[in-house]
Amino acid sequence: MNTLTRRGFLGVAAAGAVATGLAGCGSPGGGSSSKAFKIVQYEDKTSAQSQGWQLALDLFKQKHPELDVTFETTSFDAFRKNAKLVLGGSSVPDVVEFNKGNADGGQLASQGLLDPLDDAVTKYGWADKVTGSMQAFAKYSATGEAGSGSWYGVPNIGEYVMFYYNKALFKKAGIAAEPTTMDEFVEAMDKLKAAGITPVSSSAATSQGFNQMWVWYSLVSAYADRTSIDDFMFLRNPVDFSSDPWKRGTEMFQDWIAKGYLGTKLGGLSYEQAIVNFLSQKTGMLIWNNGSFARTRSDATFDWGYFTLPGAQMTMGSSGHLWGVPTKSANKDLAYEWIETTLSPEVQNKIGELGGLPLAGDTTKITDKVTQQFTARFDELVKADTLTFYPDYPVPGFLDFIQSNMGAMSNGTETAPQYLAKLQSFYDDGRKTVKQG
Amino acid sequence: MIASLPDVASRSRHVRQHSYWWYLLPMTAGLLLIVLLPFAMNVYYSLFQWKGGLAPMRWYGLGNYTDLLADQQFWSAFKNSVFMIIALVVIPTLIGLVLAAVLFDYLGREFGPSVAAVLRATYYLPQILPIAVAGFIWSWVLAADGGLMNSVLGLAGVQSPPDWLGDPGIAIYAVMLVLVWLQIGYPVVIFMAALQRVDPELYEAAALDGAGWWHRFGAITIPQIRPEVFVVVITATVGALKVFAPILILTGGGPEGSTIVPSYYSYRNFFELSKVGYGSAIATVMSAVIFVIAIAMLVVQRRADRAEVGR
Repeated sequence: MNTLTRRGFLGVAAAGAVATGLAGCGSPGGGSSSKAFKIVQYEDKTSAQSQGWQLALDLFKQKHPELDVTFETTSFDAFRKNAKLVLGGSSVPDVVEFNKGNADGGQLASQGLLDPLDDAVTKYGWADKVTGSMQAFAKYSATGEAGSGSWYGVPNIGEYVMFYYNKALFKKAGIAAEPTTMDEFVEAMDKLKAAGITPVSSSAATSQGFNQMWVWYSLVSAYADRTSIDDFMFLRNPVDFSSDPWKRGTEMFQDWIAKGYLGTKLGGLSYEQAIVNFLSQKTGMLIWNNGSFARTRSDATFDWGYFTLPGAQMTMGSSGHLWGVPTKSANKDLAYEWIETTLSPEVQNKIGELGGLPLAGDTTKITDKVTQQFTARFDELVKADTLTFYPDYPVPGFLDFIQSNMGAMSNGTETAPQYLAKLQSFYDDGRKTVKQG
Repeated sequence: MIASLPDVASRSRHVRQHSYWWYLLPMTAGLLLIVLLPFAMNVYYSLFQWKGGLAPMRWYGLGNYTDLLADQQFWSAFKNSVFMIIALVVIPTLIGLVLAAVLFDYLGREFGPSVAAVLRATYYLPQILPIAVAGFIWSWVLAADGGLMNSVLGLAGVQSPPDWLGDPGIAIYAVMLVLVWLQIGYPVVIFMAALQRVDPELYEAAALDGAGWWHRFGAITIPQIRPEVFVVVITATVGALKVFAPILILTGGGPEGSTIVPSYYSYRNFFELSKVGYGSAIATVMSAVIFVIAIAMLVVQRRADRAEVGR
């Protein structure tokens, strides 16, 4: 019943889209009649970014009353699957949102479906707004590898991974202040454990149990530097997983599992269950990204705070999805102007006010104190250039591989050296496949 | 009449037979386009090492198939198919037979047909429920700490209840449990429909002769609805060998790869690992296996039918 209604709705929506497309096609020669301009994106309407884009749409329409602007919403999965057909077809949108990474954006770029944006980046000065590691997944090489080459996309927002914590449970366990070093953090986990509270809410189900992977990669990031991360992420220099930061981070991860800091029986848990376990006060902390910030604010019945892993040299985090201009777009200059509108102070500040971590907002203008601090921390990480992305980006099939091994380590059936050895061979194989083209 | 007009009759029959061929055209075209052509392409791809899309295709001959024979993961996926058959065919068919008979024969008679209809619909509900929703519900039911299942086991005095979806030695049984729940409505509905056409006099006569419920069940119910049992067994077996969505939603093949099934493994090679040739080889092998098993079952059914007629 549910799927039927949705399918029916999509059918109607698609028919509507076709109709507007046709209406647009009918008029280009008409001179005074309006010109069609089509934007395709897949953000959830309630998200901060999407609400910012509604404002951008108003601004854009005001500036261009002559345009007949269509703001089409599709789904992430639908666009991922159909991107090649949509961008290679006969009625191509003028500007699209697409997913970052070698498997998605990289392929579209290397297949010539997206246009390089270098000239527009220079003209509008986007490189000053989108800086450091936030640029990494906007650029792709001729073979579609992220990290360098021409600009093909422009992100609007970013994300980072943090530890949410329950102030009441911290107090109950006798933790006086927020930990500021790794030692203090471990000490806090010991105290929680002693008080009978699971220190960190985690999960390791192969499908959707991402928390353990984030703990592991956060620990690797804690002892990493820019070069080691970029070598790993962008397949630059070969990576030796038996050396630090991989060795140290992974051994520490095994130690944390053994000590019960991360809870037990994680193999069947999903991230949703980990979040609920934290919100229902079963655990002292939760590792997750800004994605559950708004939810924690509205759903937590206790006093809470958050911090990034104390004493870490680098932190997990990344840029958001990207705006791109299809090679077949009929209105490229207008497309650049649209992207510029989404990066304008008005739009970016609105996204910031709603807690959406904008890349070019003025954080001091955020009126809500908590949201302001939360955004300021993100700005710091971007400025220091210490974000390490997500570990499953570099080679195909990595996510399932890592997840499966996270399950094995969490169940205690695999040790740190065993995992690192497997990681080495999987990564090297994948690296070879990617490099072969 | 026919004898008096031999020419006309034979000619019209001839024309009719000739024109019938046109009716087969849509089916043939559909079979060609939707089944045979993709299958041929799949076999063709399986002879290459290929990343898909615009990437170059490297000839690999039967290499993908020899790799497959040595692939531990594939064999364990294949072994899991046996568990899938138990969960989707053996158990639901056995339970379905008893349930359908009880609903039709006992509850339907004692409490009226509407009670039986409501119960039948209830058993069928999991089949209608979107698998994503079912998977979500079950992940909470089977949660190791505080899940419904383990809470009940705790009340029953079980000291350390299992980690249903997290323990690689147990997860496959948890998946089977969900699949039985998912599948049970299908045989029940089919068998109840089949029971409608069994002559009630048979039961009455048997009852008069003093046969008990189980006796009647074995001597009348099962032999009478045997064709439907065959249909259910064949379709469910094919379904079990192709099972995909429940694995994707419930476990993603985990923990530690313990619940991977062939179609999921093929999908993973296709889309996650970009090994299109290898994924195609798995798909080809599975198609062949399914084909052989289906044919074998049809032959058995045909023989059984003949034996029945001959009796």
